[in-house]
Amino acid sequence: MGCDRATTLTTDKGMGMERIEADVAVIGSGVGGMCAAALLAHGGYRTIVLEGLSFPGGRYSCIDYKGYRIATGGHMVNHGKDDPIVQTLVEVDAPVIEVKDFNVPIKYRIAGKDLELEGKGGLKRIVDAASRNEAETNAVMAAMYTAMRKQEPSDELSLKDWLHQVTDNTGIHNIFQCQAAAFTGVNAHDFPAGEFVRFLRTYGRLRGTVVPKGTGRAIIEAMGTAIEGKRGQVLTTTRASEILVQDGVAKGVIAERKGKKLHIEATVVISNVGPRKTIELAGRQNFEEGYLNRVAEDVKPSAAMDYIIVSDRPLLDSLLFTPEAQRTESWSPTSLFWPEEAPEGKHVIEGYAAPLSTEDYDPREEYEVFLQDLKQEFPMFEECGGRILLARQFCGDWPVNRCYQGYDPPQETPITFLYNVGDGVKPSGWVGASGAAMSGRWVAEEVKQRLRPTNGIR
Amino acid sequence: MSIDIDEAMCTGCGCCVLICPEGAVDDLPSFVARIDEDLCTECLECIDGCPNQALGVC
Repeated sequence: MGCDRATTLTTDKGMGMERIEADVAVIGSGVGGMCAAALLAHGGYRTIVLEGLSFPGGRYSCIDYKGYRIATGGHMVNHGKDDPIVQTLVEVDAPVIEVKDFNVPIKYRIAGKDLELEGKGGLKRIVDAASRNEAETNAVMAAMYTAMRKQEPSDELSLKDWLHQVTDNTGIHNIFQCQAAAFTGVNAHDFPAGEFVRFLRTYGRLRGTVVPKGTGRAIIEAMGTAIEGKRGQVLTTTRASEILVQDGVAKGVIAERKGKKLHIEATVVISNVGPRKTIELAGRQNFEEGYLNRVAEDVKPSAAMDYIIVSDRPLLDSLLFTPEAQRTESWSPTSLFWPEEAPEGKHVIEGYAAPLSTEDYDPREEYEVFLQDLKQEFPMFEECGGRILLARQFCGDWPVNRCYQGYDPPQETPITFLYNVGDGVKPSGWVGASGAAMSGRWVAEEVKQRLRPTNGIR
Repeated sequence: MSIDIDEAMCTGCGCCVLICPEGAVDDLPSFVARIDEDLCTECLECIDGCPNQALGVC
C-alpha cells in the first residue's frame, strides 16, 4: 500500500535491494517527523516514514508494562488547541483523539507549605514564600516584568546569571531552576535568559495543556492513519543506514529491514534523528565546515533522571514542584488523568530530576539522591504501598531534547532537500513535543513551496 | 543463542525493561540493562526496541 511496485536494483556488491520511489522519505517517526510526513502526504506528496524501532513515536509514545501504560517521554500536548500538534491533526483530517484538560493544581512546596501557582499574582506568592523580605520579592518581580514586557534579556546571559543580577537567594533561584529543568532538561545555568522569557511568553499567550488518552502514541498513530490514507507508509523496524547525496543534493535513503536492504529514492529527505546523526548518515564530507562546527558546538542532548512510582493509595493530587529538594524538580500525578491506564486501584506519579551537570554525572549517585528526596517529600510512601516501578535516564540518543533549549540550529541543512525536524531543531520559544511539531510544520511548508507533489504519478 | 548487552552503548533508557513481555530485563541499580536468562524466551523484542542499538544476539 502506498508505494510503487517494488523493483530490484543490483548494488556494487551484487546484493539485491528492493527499490521504493517516493517524493519524501522521513527518517524517524517521532512527533516532528510525523507532523511533516502527515502534512506532506495530505498535500499529495508520496511519503514514506522509516522508523528503526519496533514501535512508532520515539519519545512521544508509550509501552504497556505490567498493566501500566508508561510514556516513553513526553505525554502531554503543551498548548491544547493552539498547539502545532493539534493543528496538524486537524489539518490532515486525522482520527479524533480524546483529551482531557490538565486541570490539576500546580503547586510549589516551599518552607513546608504547598503553595498554588494560580491566577494573577501567582508567581509573586511563590517567590515571596522563598524571599527574605518584601524588597527582594519586588526586585525579582520588577525584573520579570521588565524582561517579559519591556526588554528581553540577552541570550548571552544564562537564566541563573540574569537572576543573580537581582538576588543571590538560593530559594528563589531554585524556583526558576524547577521551571527551566522540568520543561527542557536544561539547568538554569545553561539556559539562555532571553530564550527562557520567550518560552514563558509562548505559554502565556496560548491555551493550556491537555492530556491525550493513550499518550502521544495515540497522536502518532492517528497521524500514521492520515499518512496511510494518502497512499503513504510508516515502516517500523526499518532502520536508515545512509542518506544518499549527490552533488550537494539529497537523493534518498538506504535502510535495512529484517536483514534486507531497501533503497528509497526520494526527492526530499527529512531526518528526525537529530542533526548529529543526520551528518553521520549523510557523510561529513557532504557538509561545509561552518555547519559541522555549529552542530558540534551547539547541538548537545539535555538529560534527566525519570522515575515511575506506583502506590496503593494516592500520594499526590497536584503537579508539585519541589525547589527545596536536593535534586528532584517535579512530581506529576500521571494516573489522575486517565486512571484506566493503570491497574485498578493503583496510583502513578512521575518524578523528574535533571542532574546538576548535564554532561558529567553518575546515574547511580543521582538515584541515591532521588531516594532521599522521595523519603523527604513523601514520608507516607511506604505506608501507602509505594514502590518504584521504573527508573530510567533520558540522555544521549534518547535525551530529554536533542538540543539544549535556545541552541537549536535551523531545520535547513547545507544539502539541498535534506532537512532536520524534531527536538534538535526547535524554533525559539517552543519546547519539547510542540517545538518538534513546529519544526515539522515549517519543513512541510518549505517543501510545498519548493516542490510540486507527484500525486501518485511517477 | 543469547542476548548480549553492549554496556558502553546502553544508557539505561528503560525501553527494553518496558518492552520485554516476560519482565526479564531490569536496569537498577546500575542503569545498565541486565537480562534474567531464566525468564528470557529470546523473543528479541528488546533488540528491536533499543534506541541505542545496545542489544544484539550472540
